[in-house]
Amino acid sequence: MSVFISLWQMTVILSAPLVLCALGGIISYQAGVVNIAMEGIMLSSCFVSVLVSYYSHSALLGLLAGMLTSILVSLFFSFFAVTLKANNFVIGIAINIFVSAVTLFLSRFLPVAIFNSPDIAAIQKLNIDLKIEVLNKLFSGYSVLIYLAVILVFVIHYLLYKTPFGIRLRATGVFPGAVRTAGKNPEKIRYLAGIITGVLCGLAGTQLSLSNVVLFSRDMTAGRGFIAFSAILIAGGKPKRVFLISVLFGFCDALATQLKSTGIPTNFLSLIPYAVALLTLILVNIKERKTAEEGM
Amino acid sequence: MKMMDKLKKRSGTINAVILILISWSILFFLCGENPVQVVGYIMSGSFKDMSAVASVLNKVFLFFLLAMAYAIPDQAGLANVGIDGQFIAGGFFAALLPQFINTGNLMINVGLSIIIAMIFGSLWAFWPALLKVKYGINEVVTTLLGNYIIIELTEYMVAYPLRMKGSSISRMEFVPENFELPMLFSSKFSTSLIFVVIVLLAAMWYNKRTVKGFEAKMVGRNLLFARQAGINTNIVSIKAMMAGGAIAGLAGAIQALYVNHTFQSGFTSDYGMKGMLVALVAMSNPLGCLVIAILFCILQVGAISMQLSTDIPSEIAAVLQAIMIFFVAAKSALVIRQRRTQK
Repeated sequence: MSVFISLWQMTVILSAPLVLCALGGIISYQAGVVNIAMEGIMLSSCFVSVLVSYYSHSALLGLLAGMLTSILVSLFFSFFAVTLKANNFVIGIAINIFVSAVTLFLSRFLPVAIFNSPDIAAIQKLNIDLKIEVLNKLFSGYSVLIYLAVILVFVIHYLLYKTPFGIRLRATGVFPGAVRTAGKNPEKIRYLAGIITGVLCGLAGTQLSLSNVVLFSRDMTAGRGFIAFSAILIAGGKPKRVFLISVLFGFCDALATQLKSTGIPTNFLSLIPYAVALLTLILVNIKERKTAEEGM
Repeated sequence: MKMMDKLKKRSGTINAVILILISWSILFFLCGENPVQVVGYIMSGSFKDMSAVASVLNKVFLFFLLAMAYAIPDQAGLANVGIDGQFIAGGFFAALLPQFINTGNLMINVGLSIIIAMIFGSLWAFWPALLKVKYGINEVVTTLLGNYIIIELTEYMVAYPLRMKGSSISRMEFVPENFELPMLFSSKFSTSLIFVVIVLLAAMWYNKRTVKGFEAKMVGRNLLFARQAGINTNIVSIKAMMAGGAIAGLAGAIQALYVNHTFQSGFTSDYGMKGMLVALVAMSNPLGCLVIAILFCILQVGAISMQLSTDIPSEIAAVLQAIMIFFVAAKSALVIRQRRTQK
């Protein structure tokens, strides 16, 4: 029973950055911008959050600084992708490499002790007393950002499907020309989408470096940005689906962590999330192709 | 007159180079050092004597071959981000081969290792290409996830089943001496340079002089047009990816046989990504890849000696390299914009 509970808890904790990042990616995706730079955007937030939190002893300031950094990196990406119309993949991967290099360099150039210090202020945890012991263990005591993530799933869904902005956003993804004819500027919408993506990836990064663990280490995002991207592709850009897929991946991650103590080699276990992401992506796409062909 | 026209055509590149140098100088300055001095340390570190030059040139194969592994599929329109995985596949099997076959003859041994490495490298590139061509699955995501998967798989293999007995870190048995890539005529320079030259010449010849090369370029530029012209784009795309994978495998074999003398944990430290950077800066042009690869090696080697003379960590080399791509990417987009506004 306690194994189940800790598995559940691990899943929640490990899914959170994926959910936040994927939600951010959805907004860009629906606007027609393929944002492969989420990995770098998240990593930049991880780094700055830790740095600011260390010096200010405030997790909130760390969070805000992280989000600001993410927004800046995302705007940088948007500038190349939307205005200069450069190849999204190239720029995205370039940003990822750049952020990885800069954060690594700065983490060595600045005093190394900062990034693993007990003085870093972590995100506050929320304790809700649900009266029943089991429910408390399952649903209480998580970081504030995790609860925020769940709320955001519904917020993003509402934003995309029930607001004028959402309609324009999705229209920009489908047919930007129509949006221009209707009098709105698709490029401006894409920039806004980029900002929202930055905000959410910033939250993801801070959750990772100020809550899941409380430190910064080299490339600590470990491909989460790409896993989130796969989740977006698998879910077809739909928020609730993306939430489920992200949790699935988080679960694989948690399973792998739990199984570590059973003596199964850790490498196999680390494989699982990526392999599951890949297989799911492949299977979903094959199925879609088949149904499309049958429909003809 | 002709000189001015040529300069104008290259103005984008020239601007980019100037901006890159300015950014680097600002960076050095922010680190508290005199930019000119820093450049001096980097240069002297790479050129101070023959063994320094050799250490620079002996690293070129890594950046150049991995850049080509990205550049060749890129010309055919595919983004081969799986270079790291293909590199590992090649290196893994190249280092594994001696445990099964040893002909006793150095040339044949090395030749076999390289061929096996290239086969497995291209196989690892085959499946993402197939998925892209048949089901439209984005090759960037598949190759990236594939990278993580093969890294973990091979790490496992060298940590347990294939681990060299008594070794403190995870690695295979050392490659026997008659499998090691020799030096060039007992000089300080490695035979890896021969492979560099071969691949470079082969790529240039293929691009400019063969029908297949032309087809690949057409597929990269305009898929629909190529199809209308009767080119089997699926086969061209897959072949291009497999060629890229083979070259990455070749790089892996050289790395295993010459640099590490084995396959070990942490075989790649993002070399593939660095190769990709080179290809991006060189815009996938083979000769450009060589030039930029040499430049990157100078930066890499020089940065280490720079670290000794200043407080700047050598990791700055990666930042310098990354700054280059941005300006190159911006430049190509900016140049096009200028032409449009002139109309």
